Amino acid sequence: MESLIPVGLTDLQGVYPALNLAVAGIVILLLDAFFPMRSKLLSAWITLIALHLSFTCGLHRLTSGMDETFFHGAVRMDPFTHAFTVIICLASTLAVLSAPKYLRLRDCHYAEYYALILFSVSGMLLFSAAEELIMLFLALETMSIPVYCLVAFTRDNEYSTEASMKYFVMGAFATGFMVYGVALLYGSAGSGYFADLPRGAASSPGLFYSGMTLVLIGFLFKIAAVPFNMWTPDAYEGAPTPVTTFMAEAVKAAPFSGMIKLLIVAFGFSQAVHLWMPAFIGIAILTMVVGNMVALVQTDMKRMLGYSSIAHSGYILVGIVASVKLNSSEALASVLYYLFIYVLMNAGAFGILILFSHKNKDTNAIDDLVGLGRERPWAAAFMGIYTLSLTGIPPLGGFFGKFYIFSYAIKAGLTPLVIVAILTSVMSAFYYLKIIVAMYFREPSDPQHPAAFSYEGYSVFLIAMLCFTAFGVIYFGIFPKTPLTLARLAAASLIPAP
Amino acid sequence: MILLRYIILAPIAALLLNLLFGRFWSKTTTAFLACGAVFVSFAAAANNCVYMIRKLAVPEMQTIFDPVFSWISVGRVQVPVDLVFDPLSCVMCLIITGVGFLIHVYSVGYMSHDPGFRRFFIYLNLFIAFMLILVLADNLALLFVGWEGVGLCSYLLIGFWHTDMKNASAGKKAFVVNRVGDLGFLLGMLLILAVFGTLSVTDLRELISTAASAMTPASTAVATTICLLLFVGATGKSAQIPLYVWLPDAMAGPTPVSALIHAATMVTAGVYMIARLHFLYALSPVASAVVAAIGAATALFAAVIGLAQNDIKKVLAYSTISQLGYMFLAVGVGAYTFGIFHLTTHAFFKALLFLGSGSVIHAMSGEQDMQRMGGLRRYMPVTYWTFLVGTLAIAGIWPLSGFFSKDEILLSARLASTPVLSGAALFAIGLCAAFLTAFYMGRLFTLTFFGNSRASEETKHHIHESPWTMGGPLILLAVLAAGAGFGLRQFENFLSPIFGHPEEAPHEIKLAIMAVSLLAGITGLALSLYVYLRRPDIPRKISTSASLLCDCIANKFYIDELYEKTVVRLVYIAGIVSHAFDKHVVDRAVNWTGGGLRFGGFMLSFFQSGNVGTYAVWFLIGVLALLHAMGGVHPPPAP
Amino acid sequence: MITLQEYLTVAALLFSLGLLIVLFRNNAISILMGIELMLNAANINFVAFSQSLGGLAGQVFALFVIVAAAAEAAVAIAIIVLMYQNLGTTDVEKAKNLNG
Repeated sequence: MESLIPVGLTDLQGVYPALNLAVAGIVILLLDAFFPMRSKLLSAWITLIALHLSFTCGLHRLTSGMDETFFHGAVRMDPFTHAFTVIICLASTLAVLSAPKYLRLRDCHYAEYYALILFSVSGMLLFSAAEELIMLFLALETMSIPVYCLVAFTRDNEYSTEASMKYFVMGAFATGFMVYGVALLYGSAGSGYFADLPRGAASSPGLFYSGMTLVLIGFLFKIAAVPFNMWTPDAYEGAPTPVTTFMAEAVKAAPFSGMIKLLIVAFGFSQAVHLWMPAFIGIAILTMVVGNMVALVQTDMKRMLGYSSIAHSGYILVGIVASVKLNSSEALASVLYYLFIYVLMNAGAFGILILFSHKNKDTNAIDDLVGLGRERPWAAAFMGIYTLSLTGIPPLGGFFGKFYIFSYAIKAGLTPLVIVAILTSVMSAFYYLKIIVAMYFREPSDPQHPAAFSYEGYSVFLIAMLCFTAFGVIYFGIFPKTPLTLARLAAASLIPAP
Repeated sequence: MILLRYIILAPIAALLLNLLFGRFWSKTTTAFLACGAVFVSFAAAANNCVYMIRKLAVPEMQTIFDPVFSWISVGRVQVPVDLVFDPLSCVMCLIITGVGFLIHVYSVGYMSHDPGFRRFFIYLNLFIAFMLILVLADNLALLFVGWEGVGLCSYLLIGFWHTDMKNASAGKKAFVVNRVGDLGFLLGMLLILAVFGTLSVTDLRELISTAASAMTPASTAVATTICLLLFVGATGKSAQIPLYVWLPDAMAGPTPVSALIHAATMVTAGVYMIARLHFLYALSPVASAVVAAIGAATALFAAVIGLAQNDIKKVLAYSTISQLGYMFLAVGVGAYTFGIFHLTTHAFFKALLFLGSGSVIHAMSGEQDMQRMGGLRRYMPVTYWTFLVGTLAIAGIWPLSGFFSKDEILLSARLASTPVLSGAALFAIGLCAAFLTAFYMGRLFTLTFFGNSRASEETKHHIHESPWTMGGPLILLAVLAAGAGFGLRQFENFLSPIFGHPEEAPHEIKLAIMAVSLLAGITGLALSLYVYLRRPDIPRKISTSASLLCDCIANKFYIDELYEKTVVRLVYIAGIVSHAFDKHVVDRAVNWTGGGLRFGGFMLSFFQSGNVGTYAVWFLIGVLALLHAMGGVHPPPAP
Repeated sequence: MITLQEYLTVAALLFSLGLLIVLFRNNAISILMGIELMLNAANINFVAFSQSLGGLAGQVFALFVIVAAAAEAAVAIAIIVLMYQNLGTTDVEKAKNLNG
């Protein structure tokens, strides 16, 4: 083994999307330290520009089909990675757009917010690129640690602090298991490279399979699969809403990218991954049932969306099981499409909550939305679009996302699983429609109530984000061709056509 | 050449703009946008039409094809959104956008005082868009989208003044009756999909032209079933026996709506559909004969009812049903070109008549009863002269357009022989209907414009000629209704790539039929003029001496009551039963399920105690369970 | 000579110890220490494997884990301080406003 690993310029160029964000984050910190300004919009703009650069770079690489390895095989930039670069940069952009308004109202609009987001995203971008265990672990930590800080960002808010504490304790706990698993995998194979893992499975299967289980548990924790989901609702509810947006999208999509890659590239060499499928099916069922059922009794929308995001993880797990079973890139593409649409509709729903948040009070309870349809028809219509899409009503994007996933699952012979998925989707209509009923069909008991719908701290960023997501949910639902084509391109790099 | 999607997009863009931002601008802007969009569509269609005429010599250039996107793609079922522009859809497009534009302009004047002005134009534009989808669709599924869409718009516009219970229920009636027809259409469509595996008209046509030689009795039976099912849909949309009952009630909508939707365009969708699928109907002589027979029967039946109506719009409504019957008669005997030609001329003169009646109603402060009109000739010269042109045209007086189209249909019917009714019988029925048409139109015209005014003093005081936005379209339509007949030969040539050239009839028969039909028209008009102007006592005498028959006719043969007593009653009883079932069985089941689920969620949420220690315990349980499961399945260690 | 087996046993014991601390102690700082124990158990594994398999990869792994653990600890201490400021306690049992 080389004593000194030389790193060349090409390697740095290879990870440009992530590097660019990390540098931008440092620039923001330094600028703020040496030239402090009252308005932090400059930081926001730098963040947006950096994210945009990474986004276009990812898109460009995706369309040009770049597929190379860097850092001696530890990092592989393939179309799959590029696709997630695109999705994650998009998700983070939406989260950043929704932030300034909320943070200003809470008097904590600091430049560090943007730096933390950028550091976290740079970790995420390496997540799906990792072809080596230590790389994977570092990407995970780079992604997670800034988010612990972000959850506690409203410093004097006790809920925020509590949420951060719980998220941290559970996160670090999960990391402990995962690192232990990495150690076992390393011990079985003698190397961290994914390519060497089959050797480990052959020589010491006991170590290998325990290690694999522990590593996957780390991922199941991050995507909030039952029973590793308990932190999700608390963290979502307590965190500042823009951070919740970020967590529900980017911090959710990235572990999926890592997990898919791990399942297909690292463990896909043998029956290993198929042995896992029964467990995955069980977890998917539990996740869908528990997520949707507990969401039914929620009255706080952030918490409800937290449970709903657990449920959506279940649907995505169904898609992953189907793509592994079928070994089909088409099925995997449907998972990517679903994640893309999920990012759009979820960001929009949280965006509406931010739109009506006030200096002293968030507008989070479902009851707070009573009468919105009459007072603010546009905002109500947007919220209606997001919730209907989350429910899965055609012709919105959410419907086609589910539709593609379920149809591939049926093709893979997972009919019972799909039946559970569809029944739980029907169940989800109960609580999503509760929002619509509140907005349009309920009379406010308190005549003064509509005053809650004033726009405090108007932000063009936020409006732009809402318009884009609403448009995207409709447009990419009716014309799914472009995202699907790109997703197929990406998926084909992971699962070559037979 | 302009891409076909833009023809449809123009009214959609206008309606979206008006919908989203209409409240920020004036009525003028709204009206300008709405009319302008339809005109843009018209110009685009006309441009494509000119392009097509230039290319007429080159056979494969006769259609313009615009694949917009792939809409549904599930296994064998492919529903691409493909638009196709051939001579047939060209004619329909020009009618829809051309007449539609004139009616839009007319509506600006007609609706100027209405508080729902913006809503009205949004609906109208939506209607135009759906109608264009209907005629431009290459795929039956897409055609069905348009078909349902225009039905929706019709429903919305009939009930436009929905605060009045009567209007709302008229809209509902139209909607429900059309559902019955749509069921037939849908079944026919599914059968086509099952048999041919495609819904694309172009593909169907090719499939059938290659398979036509190998027809067996069984396949003829299938073709007959498909055609009859589709025809059920057509009877609903185009108000034929037995599903015509909604159209007279549909007159509750604003008059421009009656002109556009319930005379010129939407109700002809059934005729268009059959003409579009003519190759399918050609396979089944029985189905075609049924179409012809129903058409002829409707033409006569509706004309008889039209005799005894006093509401000016109701007369026109029955007249529309009757004229639609002619069109079905034409397509039923295989004279597709003439059916479409009658559709065209009818669009002109019936839109003209409706708009004229709207002008009259506008002037009479909303009065629709002809018995309270009279003598309007002096007050409203423009309306009077244009209405005269419309009346002569529908009565089939040479040289106005109605003469040519009706004459050709009668001729085709005479020469046809069908398995159901002989050509002579069809011809006789058609001729009777032509006579009656001339008679009731003469009656309408006389009662409205001649004689002395029978209106109240107050109404009389208000009578005025309509503004130019209403007069202008009337004049233009009058010119079209008068002159369109001379375009018959060109029209035949234009449509010949689709329907082929009709056979030339012997000259003497042609002349004889011309003479007879002209005679029927003239006698009808003259008789009614004589009766209602000189001898108004005759109708009264008839009604006393043959009171039973007259009552019967005036009450539309009690068909509505019959439906009310049988079908509606049955459906109502079924409704009560299923409501009870719904309430006591389904609802309870749903409530219990909902309650159970909520209870489950409530119980599960206890696990979420808020204590991070508990979370860690559950996490550990998950880890142990998974490790256990994996320990059980992993292969034994290698020796 | 200490065998690989013995190293692994010690590591497993250390891991279980950390696990039990996380599960049964309520003080946030104790929990943090438990987590550190779990991570260090993994480190012992890395180094032990590295020694028995040869090569330095395992030791590099261990170094990176130490770095990450340090970063986590820094954040954790900050969060615990915040918790003390806002909730007046470092007892995680007391922090259950968010539940259901």
